Amino acid sequence: MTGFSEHDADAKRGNGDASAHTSVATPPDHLASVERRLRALVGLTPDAMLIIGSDDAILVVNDQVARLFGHRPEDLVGRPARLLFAEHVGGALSAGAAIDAARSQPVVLELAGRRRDGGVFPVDVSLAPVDGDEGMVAAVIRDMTARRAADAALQASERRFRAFLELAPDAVVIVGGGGRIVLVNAQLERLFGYRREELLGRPVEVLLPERLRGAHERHRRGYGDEPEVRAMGAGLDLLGRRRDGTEFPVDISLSPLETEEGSLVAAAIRDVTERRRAERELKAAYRELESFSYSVSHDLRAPLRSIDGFSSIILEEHADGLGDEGRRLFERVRAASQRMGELIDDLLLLSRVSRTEMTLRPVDLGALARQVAARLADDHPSRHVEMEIDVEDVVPGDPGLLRVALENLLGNAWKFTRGRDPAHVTFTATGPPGAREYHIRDNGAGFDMAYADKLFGPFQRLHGPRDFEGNGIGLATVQRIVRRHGGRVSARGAVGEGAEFSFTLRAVEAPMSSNARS
Amino acid sequence: MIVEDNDDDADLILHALERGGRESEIVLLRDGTEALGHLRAVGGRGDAPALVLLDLKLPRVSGLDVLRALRAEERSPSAPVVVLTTSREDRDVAEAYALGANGYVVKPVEFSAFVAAVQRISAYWLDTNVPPPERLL
Repeated sequence: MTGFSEHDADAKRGNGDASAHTSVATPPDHLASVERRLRALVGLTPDAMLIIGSDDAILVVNDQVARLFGHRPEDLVGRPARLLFAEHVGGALSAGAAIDAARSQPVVLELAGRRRDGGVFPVDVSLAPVDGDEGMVAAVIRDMTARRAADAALQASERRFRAFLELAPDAVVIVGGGGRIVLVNAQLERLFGYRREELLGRPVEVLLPERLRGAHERHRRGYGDEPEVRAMGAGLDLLGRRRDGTEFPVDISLSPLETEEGSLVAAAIRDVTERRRAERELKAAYRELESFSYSVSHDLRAPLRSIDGFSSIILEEHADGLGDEGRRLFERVRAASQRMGELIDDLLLLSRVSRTEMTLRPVDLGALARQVAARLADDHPSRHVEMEIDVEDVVPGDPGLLRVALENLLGNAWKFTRGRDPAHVTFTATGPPGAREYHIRDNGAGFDMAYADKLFGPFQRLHGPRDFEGNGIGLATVQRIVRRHGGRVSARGAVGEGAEFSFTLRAVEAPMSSNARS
Repeated sequence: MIVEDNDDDADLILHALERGGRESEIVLLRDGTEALGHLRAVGGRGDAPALVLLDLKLPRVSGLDVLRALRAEERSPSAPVVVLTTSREDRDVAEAYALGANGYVVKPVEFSAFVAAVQRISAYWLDTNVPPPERLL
């Protein structure tokens, strides 16, 4: 028979048989069916159930008692109920006292259960007198181990959470229903000048200037409809208001929190006064730089023109009085002023490359390279260079800046292949979509790899001006352009064996092929 | 008519024009106010310069202001104005053309290129800019 075991003193004394039969006469049929159903019910419950007699002895137990306490049911029947409990520190009543009290009224309390192996575990116990049976107590015992562990873990987790919040460098406020402040950390107290008691329960708008509160409330309700983690008002100027009424610029990021108490929103607030100031200073510095460059372009070039101009006039119209040496010296004056002019131009280009706002558009690199190559061919009609352009990528970039970069790279390739016949320059691409690398290779003079790290510094040259003209700005410009596009540039070469310059651009999206190539 | 405040540049322009061997009356003005005064005087006689070489960086009144005033006040025939300046800023180019300049040349640093530029400008506007014979009208 499943469900429970009964103690029957008579049965035990009578035939020594510890089985679960009673010697009571078989109850009438309807009672029997009621009993069957009760047994089925009692057998199902996950809790341990007992009936305790007036002498504190266990009369009836269900099978769950075995599971919970480790005793066989038949071993418990007839034993004192006390044996299932250990002394419960901090308990209001002992087990015995509770059972006693339950003879006249229901009692519910926490106790410490004791297993057969001596192990102690938390239990919730409900006791009640059994109607009609004087002195008998029914008991339901529930194992609270898991629940207590979960509670403890939750509390520990909450403690950790609060500790973490207090440590956070940002001011944090947690907002609950109706926009009321549920929690703030120490940083928020410091930032806004409030003690937390002054803020808890108040609407979060108290942290904003009055004139902004209405709009914020509307936004807050909107956020509640579609909560998501986000930086609030990126790019906008948000303001916070301190207790003393002063206002300051802030950045805010929001995260929704789901808790048992409902949906909360956590906001991290950062004082960006310093950052705004730094941004303003940077903008001012850029404007200063721009006006400086502008005046450089006027003021520096004019005297150069004078130097070159008057030297030329002297050479043309007063050559006779000069003599050979004099003429040569004036030629050198002219050459020097021309070099200086190119230097100024390149420097201005380099600074403009850094300053200009980039406008991103799809740029067909292959087409751009072909245009640059055509221009090179036009400018140097006496040269014959074999150009191979094998790039079909269309990438997001600033067309003007990328043109300058290609002009420099391809121009260099042309320049350094001057002694070669045939001169060979290729523009290719490698790598998977999203990680493309572009290469410009030439079979020209090359360079010594030992100096490779100097290549991209401004004014660094690995060839003397007698071999190849140039002032060493070009590659620094290319590097700056590539960097502004989020990429990197590198070079490989060997003396007398040509060079290969490679660069990547920002891998934001895969390049779009302008034509499908089979 | 040359509007140029820099002495050296002025001399170089004159030199370049002389090299072209063209017989023309050359008027050199040093700032915007003088230039406008001259243009008004000339305009009052129903005349206009055959060519104006205009620097942008002028004291007191900028070259662009001169151009603006010139176009605003002139009656036909309008004077061809070529801006000859050191500035290669896009905004200056755009504004010069917007105000009605006929050409914009950045002064080359190299003298021979400078001479070539001045000569090309004057050749175009002084030699070729001639009204077609009446029969073809």
